[in-house]
Amino acid sequence: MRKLPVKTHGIPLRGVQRVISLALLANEWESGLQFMVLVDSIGDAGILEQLVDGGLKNIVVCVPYHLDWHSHIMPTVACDTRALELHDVVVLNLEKQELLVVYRNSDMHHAIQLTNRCNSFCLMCSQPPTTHDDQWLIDEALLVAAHINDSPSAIGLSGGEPLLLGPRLREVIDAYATRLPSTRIEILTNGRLLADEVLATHLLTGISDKVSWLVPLYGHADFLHDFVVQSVGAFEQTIGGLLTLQSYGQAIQLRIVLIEPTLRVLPELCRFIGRNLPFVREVALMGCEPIGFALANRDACKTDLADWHAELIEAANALRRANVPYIFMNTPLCALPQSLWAHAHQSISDWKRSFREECSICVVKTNCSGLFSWHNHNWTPTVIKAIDGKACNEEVH
Amino acid sequence: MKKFIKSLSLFIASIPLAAAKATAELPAGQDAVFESQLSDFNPVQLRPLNHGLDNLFAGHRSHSSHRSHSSHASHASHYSGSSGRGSYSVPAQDTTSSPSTTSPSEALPAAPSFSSEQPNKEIVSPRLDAPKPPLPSSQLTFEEKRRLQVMRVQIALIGLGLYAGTVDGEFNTDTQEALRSFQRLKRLPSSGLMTTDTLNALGIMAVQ
Ligand code: SF4
Repeated sequence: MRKLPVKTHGIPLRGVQRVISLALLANEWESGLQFMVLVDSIGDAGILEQLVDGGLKNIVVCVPYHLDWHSHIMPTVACDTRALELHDVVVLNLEKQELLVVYRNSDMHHAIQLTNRCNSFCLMCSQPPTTHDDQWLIDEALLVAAHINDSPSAIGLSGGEPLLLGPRLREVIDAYATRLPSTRIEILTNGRLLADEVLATHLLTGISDKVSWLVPLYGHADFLHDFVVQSVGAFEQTIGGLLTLQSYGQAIQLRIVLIEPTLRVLPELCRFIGRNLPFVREVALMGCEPIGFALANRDACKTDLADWHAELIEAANALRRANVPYIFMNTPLCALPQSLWAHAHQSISDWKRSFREECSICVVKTNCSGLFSWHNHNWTPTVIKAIDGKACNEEVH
Repeated sequence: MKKFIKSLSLFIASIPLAAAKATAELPAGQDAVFESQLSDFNPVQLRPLNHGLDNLFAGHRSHSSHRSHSSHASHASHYSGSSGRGSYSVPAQDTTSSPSTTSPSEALPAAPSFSSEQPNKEIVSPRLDAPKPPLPSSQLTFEEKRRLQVMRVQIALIGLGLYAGTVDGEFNTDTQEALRSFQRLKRLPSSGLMTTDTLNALGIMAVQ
C-alpha cells in the first residue's frame, strides 16, 4: 500500500476520503462521503472555505507544502500533492501522520484488506497475522466501497482471512457488488471456514455472480498441506470448502505458492487436482514473495526455480491433460522453462514491481512479470539473466 | 495421517507416503462450466453530459411543494461531523509486515466456529457506533435526489463566484438569481431553472 507523510491540521479522527479537484466537486458531492479537495492556490482554498461556510461539512482541503497554509474553518492536510491522483481513496492515519492510498483507479491490481487476523500460519505468509480485534477494518472497507468512483475490471478482497469476518463478509461483498456493478470481486481465502454449513449458506446463497474465490492448496494429502499452512486439519477443511463452493457453482482459482515443500510434490498435487478438483476455473502457480514469514522460513521458502524445471513441466502437463487451465504468477520469464512462458502473467502489483540492471538488455522484458521490489540479490526466484534474441527465436514469433 | 509435522526434513522424509494417498478419497468432480469473465465489455459512448430525459428537475421552480422529510434528515446526519466516531479507536495499522522471528508453529489460534450452536459473538456482533456508508444515489428518494441536484448546482455557482449563499439544497431565490446570471453569461434562456442545457453548461451530471 502506498504511504505518504502528511501534516494534518484540525482533523479529529481517522477517516476515509475521496481525493478530488475543486472542479469535480460540484459533480460528485454527496452528503455521506468525505472529500479531500486538492487545491494549489490560496484563491481556490478561499472558494472551498466559502463552501464550508455555506454549510458543506464533509470537506478536507489538501494543499502542497509550499503553500504553507492551513484553514481555520476546515480540516487541512499538507503533503506532496503530486503523489496523489484524482479519485484516489485514501485513509488518514493521524497518529503516524500518514496518508494511505487504499485504492487508485490507475493501478492494474486492486486489493482491499478486510482483516489482519488469520486461522492459518503459512510458512511463507507475506503478511503475518495479528490477533487483535480489527473490525474497524470492515467498516472502513464498506466506506472505501462507497468512495470509489469507478468500476475497475477486478478488485481483490483479502486479509488475513476474510472468512473470519463471518456473516459480515457477505455485507462487504454486497457493498462492492452494488457499488461497482461491472467489477469482478476476487476473494482471497483459505476456504477453511466454508466447511461450516451455516456460514457457507449465509455467505453463498444468492451471492453476486461477479464473485470468484482464490484458494491456496499446497498438498494432496493432509500432512502436506497442513505443514505448509502450519495448522492441523486445514486440508480437510479447505477441501470441504472447495466442494461447498463447487456445489454453489462458484468460480474458483486454486493457488499454489512455489516453495520447496510444494515443489517437491507439485506433479502429484496437480494430478490430484486434475482428478478430484477438475471443476476449478484455473490453477495459479505463484512465485514466493520474499517478505513476512518467508524471510523467517528461508530454508523452506527460498528456492531457485531453475532447479525445478522438470517438476514444473510435469505439473503443467498433468493440468493440461486434465483440461485445467493454469497460469504462472510472480515468476520472471528467466525463472521458467521456455515452454511455459506462454502461461506466465504480469501479476506483480505496479507499486511492488521492479526490474534489475540485467533486465534492460532482455528481449522479453515487456512480457515479464518482473520482480518484487523487495527481492534483494541474496534472494531472487532464480539467477536473473537477460534472455537474448537467439535464445527465444522459436518462442517469440 | 493426523500427525503434525514441524520440521522441513521430517516433512521431506514423509513425502513418499503421500504417493499412495494421491488417488483420491473424493468423488470424481462434476464438470462445471464457468462462464468466461472476458465477456465483460464496457463500450464507451460519446454523448452530451445530460439528455433531456436524464434531468428530473428541469421544471422545478421552488421546493415548497417538496418539504424535506425526516428520512433525508437522518440520512444527512449519518456522517455529519465526527459523531459516532467516539470509540473508533485509532488503530496503529502496521502494513510494513516486519519479518517475524518466532516460530510460526507457536500459538495456533483456534478456528472460530460460526455454526448456530456456538455463535462467536466477538466476531459477528455489529458495531453500533460504526459510521454507515451512504446509499448509492440511485437509491435516494425523489426529494433527496432533488436536494442533491440543487446542492451540486449551488456548489458550482459558488465556484464560479456567482452565488454566496448557503449550500443547503433549497432552491431559493438567491440560487435562482445566480442561475439567471449564469444563463445570461452563457447566452441561455434566463429562466432561473435547472434546465438540461444549464446543467450541461455547468458541467454537472443530472442526479438519477
Ligand atoms: S532478465 Fe529481467 S526482464 Fe528478462 S526474464 Fe529475467 S527478470 Fe524478466
